[in-house]
Amino acid sequence: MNVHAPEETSWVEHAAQGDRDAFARLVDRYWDKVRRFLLGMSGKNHLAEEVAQEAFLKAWTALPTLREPATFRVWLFQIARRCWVDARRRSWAHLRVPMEGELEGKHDGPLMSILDDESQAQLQAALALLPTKFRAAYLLWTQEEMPYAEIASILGISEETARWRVCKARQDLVHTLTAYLHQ
Amino acid sequence: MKCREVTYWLYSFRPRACWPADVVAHLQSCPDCRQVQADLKRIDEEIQQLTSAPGSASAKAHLLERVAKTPQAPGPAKPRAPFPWRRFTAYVVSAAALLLFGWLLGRRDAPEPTEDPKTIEVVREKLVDVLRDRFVMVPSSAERDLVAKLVQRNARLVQSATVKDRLDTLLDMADDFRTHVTTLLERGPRDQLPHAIELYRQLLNEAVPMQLQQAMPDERVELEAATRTRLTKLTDLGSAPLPAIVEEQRGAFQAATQKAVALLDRPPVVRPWERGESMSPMVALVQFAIAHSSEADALAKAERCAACVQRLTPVMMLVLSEEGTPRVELGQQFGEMIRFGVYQPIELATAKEPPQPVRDQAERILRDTAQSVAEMEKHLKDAPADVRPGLERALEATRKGWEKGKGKAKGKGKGLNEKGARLDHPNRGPRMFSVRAELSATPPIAPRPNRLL
Repeated sequence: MNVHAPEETSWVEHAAQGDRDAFARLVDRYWDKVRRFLLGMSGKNHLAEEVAQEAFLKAWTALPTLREPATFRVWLFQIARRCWVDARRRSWAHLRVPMEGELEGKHDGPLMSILDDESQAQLQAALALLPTKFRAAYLLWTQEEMPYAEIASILGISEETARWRVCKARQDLVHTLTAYLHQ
Repeated sequence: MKCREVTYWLYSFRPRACWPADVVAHLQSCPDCRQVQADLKRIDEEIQQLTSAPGSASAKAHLLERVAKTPQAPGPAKPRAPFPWRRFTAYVVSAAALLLFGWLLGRRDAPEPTEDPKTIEVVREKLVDVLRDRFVMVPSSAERDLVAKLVQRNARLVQSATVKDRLDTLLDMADDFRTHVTTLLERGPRDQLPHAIELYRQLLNEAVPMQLQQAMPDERVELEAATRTRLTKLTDLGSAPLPAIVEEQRGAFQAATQKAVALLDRPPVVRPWERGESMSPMVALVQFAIAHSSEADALAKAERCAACVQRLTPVMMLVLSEEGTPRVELGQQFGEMIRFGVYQPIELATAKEPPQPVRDQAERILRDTAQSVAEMEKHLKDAPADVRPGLERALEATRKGWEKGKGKAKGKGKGLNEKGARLDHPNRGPRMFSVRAELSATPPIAPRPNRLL
């Protein structure tokens, strides 16, 4: 459910009537969320931004057809996911290659920078090794802290399946990152 | 609670969720499960940090620029969905497959035909001959056989002295019809079946009951029983499977027989005779038998028989000229029909000084009959040698009767010669054989099967 229901619903209704300022507020609220989700899915920052732009543009175009303004978040992430699927089909950028140099970490000093790069590489590798459907469920659950009901709506699956996918994704991450966690 | 059950809660639900008290108690007492909880918390936090790096500010600005240039979709209504060709095609293919399957199933379950379809010869090209500018229908082989038998029966009928003999002869004629109908049923042409059955019905309903009516009371019961027995036997037309339309004719024949049996003890109903009605050879022969059996007045009997003879004469000329027919016997019998069917009743009617109207009527009948006889005489002159005996025998058989009849009826004559032929007949002349020769040179017309029946 939309935690920002009162004001967000109003923005969605105005945006659906062609109010670009209202839509700009929605972009401010959801841009980072969508881009972060897409970055976790693709592992490439520039690709995440391109797909996010495409997703917001489609949402703007199709916003008058949205019947329930309160479901805007779910609807927007559905569009974002489909855009990423289309982008993955267009290119093989989704290949499970280490996202070296794409994800930026904290760089507090030369030593910390080296350690951060190594840690990020392992995290990126572990995330990239997750199956796509597990990764999507896990990212929505951990980044957006979405309930299973919304995750299920976005991915088009049942709530129990969404819970099982999140469970499996966390088990795989623990298994993959055991050495990293106990080094 | 076991560690495995606790890890389920650890992996599936967030720490701030309402974990059961057992899970919380287990975590407090189990260091391994607490370690798993700590690892999961760390992974979640680090991955969240990994993807939370800020993006380029230009990307969002570029998005807003694109939004400013992009119009929205018109109206809240959903865009019209495209026609579901795939679903439509699937439905059509499924329906066609079901229809095909049903058709194949129906063909497999359909019973095999029990008999081969037989071509029924319904329309037969009838040969015609020209006799004195008249078209004469040439009877088929089956009809010729029946005509020959009916001539024989009629010759015997006119010479029968007792009711029993006449009744036997009429029943023999009925049996001839049964044989004829059986032949038509089995070999065709079946288009003649209704006509033959109707004549058979007339013979049984008019001639047979009249003979029983004329029988003496002491012999009637015996004759009626014998007639009933013979009629019952006539219903046997075989049991071979026939096409439905022909099966109806077999049923009609049997129904006519059963009706005749039922009407044996009732007064006969004789159809009134109409002068000048058109008669085929078989009709003329049946009417001759009915007239001779049912007509009580001698002059009326002679008149009706003379009319039948007139209709029969052209056909008899053809039959008597056909190879393979008993020409002499047929000629003899046809002459006897004229002698005993026409001349003898006239002799009886004019035996005792009849009134003038009777004499005039008798003379008219004689003149009409004389035309038929004169026709035979003319043809006799040009007939081939093998045809002559039949005609000679017919003329010989009529001569005695003619002499008697002419002697009684001759009064105010109208130009009859000694042989009874009218001298001023406009169309007299021996044309029959010459015309037959012309027709024989003409190529036959191919038969046309009628497929409507």
